[in-house]
Amino acid sequence: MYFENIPALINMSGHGVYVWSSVAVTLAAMLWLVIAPLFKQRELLQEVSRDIQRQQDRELAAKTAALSEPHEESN
Amino acid sequence: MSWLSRLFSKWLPKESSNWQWFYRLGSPRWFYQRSGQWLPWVSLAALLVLATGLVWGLAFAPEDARQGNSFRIIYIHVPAAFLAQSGYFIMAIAGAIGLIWKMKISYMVMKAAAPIGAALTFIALFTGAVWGKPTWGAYWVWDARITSMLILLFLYAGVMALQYAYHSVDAASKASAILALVGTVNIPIINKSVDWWYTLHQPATIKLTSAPSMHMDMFMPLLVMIVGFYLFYAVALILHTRNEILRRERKTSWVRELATAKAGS
Amino acid sequence: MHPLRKQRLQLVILLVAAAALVIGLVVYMLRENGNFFYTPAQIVSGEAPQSTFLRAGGMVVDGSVLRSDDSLWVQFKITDGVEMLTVEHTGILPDLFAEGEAAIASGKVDENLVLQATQILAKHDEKYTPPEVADAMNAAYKAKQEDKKEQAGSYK
Repeated sequence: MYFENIPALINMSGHGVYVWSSVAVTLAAMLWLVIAPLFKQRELLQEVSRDIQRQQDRELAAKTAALSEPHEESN
Repeated sequence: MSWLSRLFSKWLPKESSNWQWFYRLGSPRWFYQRSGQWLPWVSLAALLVLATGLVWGLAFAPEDARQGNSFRIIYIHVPAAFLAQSGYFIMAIAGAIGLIWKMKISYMVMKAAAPIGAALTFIALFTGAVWGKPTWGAYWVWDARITSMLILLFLYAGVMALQYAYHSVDAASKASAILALVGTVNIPIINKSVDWWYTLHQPATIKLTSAPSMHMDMFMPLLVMIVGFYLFYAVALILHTRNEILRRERKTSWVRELATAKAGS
Repeated sequence: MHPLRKQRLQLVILLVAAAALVIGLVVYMLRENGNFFYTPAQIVSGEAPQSTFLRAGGMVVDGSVLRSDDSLWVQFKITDGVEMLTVEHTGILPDLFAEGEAAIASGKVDENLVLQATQILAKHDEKYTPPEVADAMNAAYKAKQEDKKEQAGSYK
């Protein structure tokens, strides 16, 4: 290592504030660039499966309604 | 733009086997499946290369004789600025391919590239400001390099805004692509600004035509970081493009199958 | 309004606003760099206005930097090769500020033709060298200069 110890690496002879704040902001932005789309992907897939579920429910309801109609007539 | 596509379609026989890969690449489904296979490997490579470069640059590279340790910001500033510009080309080329060949996937890549490029431009501007304070004596100066980078940020923001300015996806894509193409004039301006105007920003350290004006011990980790940023860019672009595919193809049977499979597991 | 026309109107407004912003930025940049910028010769000859904000750029003259012991006050001279301008400033100087290097001072010129600077900027080049290498290079340069002197002496 170029520095003698870890405190020296963190301090960087007074320039640590500048270097480490740059590194922190950069890493945060980069993490956001990969983590945000991963959450978004899960959300999108969940939306699609909810749509499918809703469509199936509607079809099922229509079918049961069609089946129960003649019953009502016979009553 | 339809005359353009008609013009180019003459040279592009649709059923020719030479071009089959090109059209297959244009299939969102094919891209989604393939990119899912590449993704873990590219991510792993990006992580390893970035970690190596960062530790090397921050802890092992020697300090600069005149700037001291603040020069270490170069290891994120320069790769971010590099990718902010390369990313703009990727976005503009994707837009051009969309306009000419009407390839669905290319518009999705274009849309995906905008927020990534904007974030990288922001990183370059932020780290530049933090670096400028101790070395130049100011966070911000209105010199040609910095102003043209700020304009790059606005171009990215413009492309993003146009995506939402239209109800029709097709119209939004076309408008964004045209803006992206017009904005490419800014890239050579950014590159040449340090030579054309008197700027506080120093000229380029890395040039294709000559040896870098940097000691090898300092240059090697920078090179590693640039490669790492390219890999990272690939990961981010693939992830954003995949989401755009899901958004636009959500009515297709393959996406519905994928969603049910994911929900079941 | 027709929705399509409304959309187009929004687009036109957006583009005009963006173009205006960009042009504004470029004009601002050129003004910042151009109008207020004077060389030491222009200031010493009285060509530059007094007690208005301006910038002066030049090389920091070797051996001209005076520092105060108990404050951040500093005085130095910059030159464009024609005239020398005295600059005074109170504050932390940038790392790259050094004798024989380029510096830009911004502030107001007082009645004694001294630039009272509120900001000092230093420009740096694209070269990066580790300290040991820089020291070695300087030592080699000095040795070479002395060699030349000796040679010149022996020819006499």
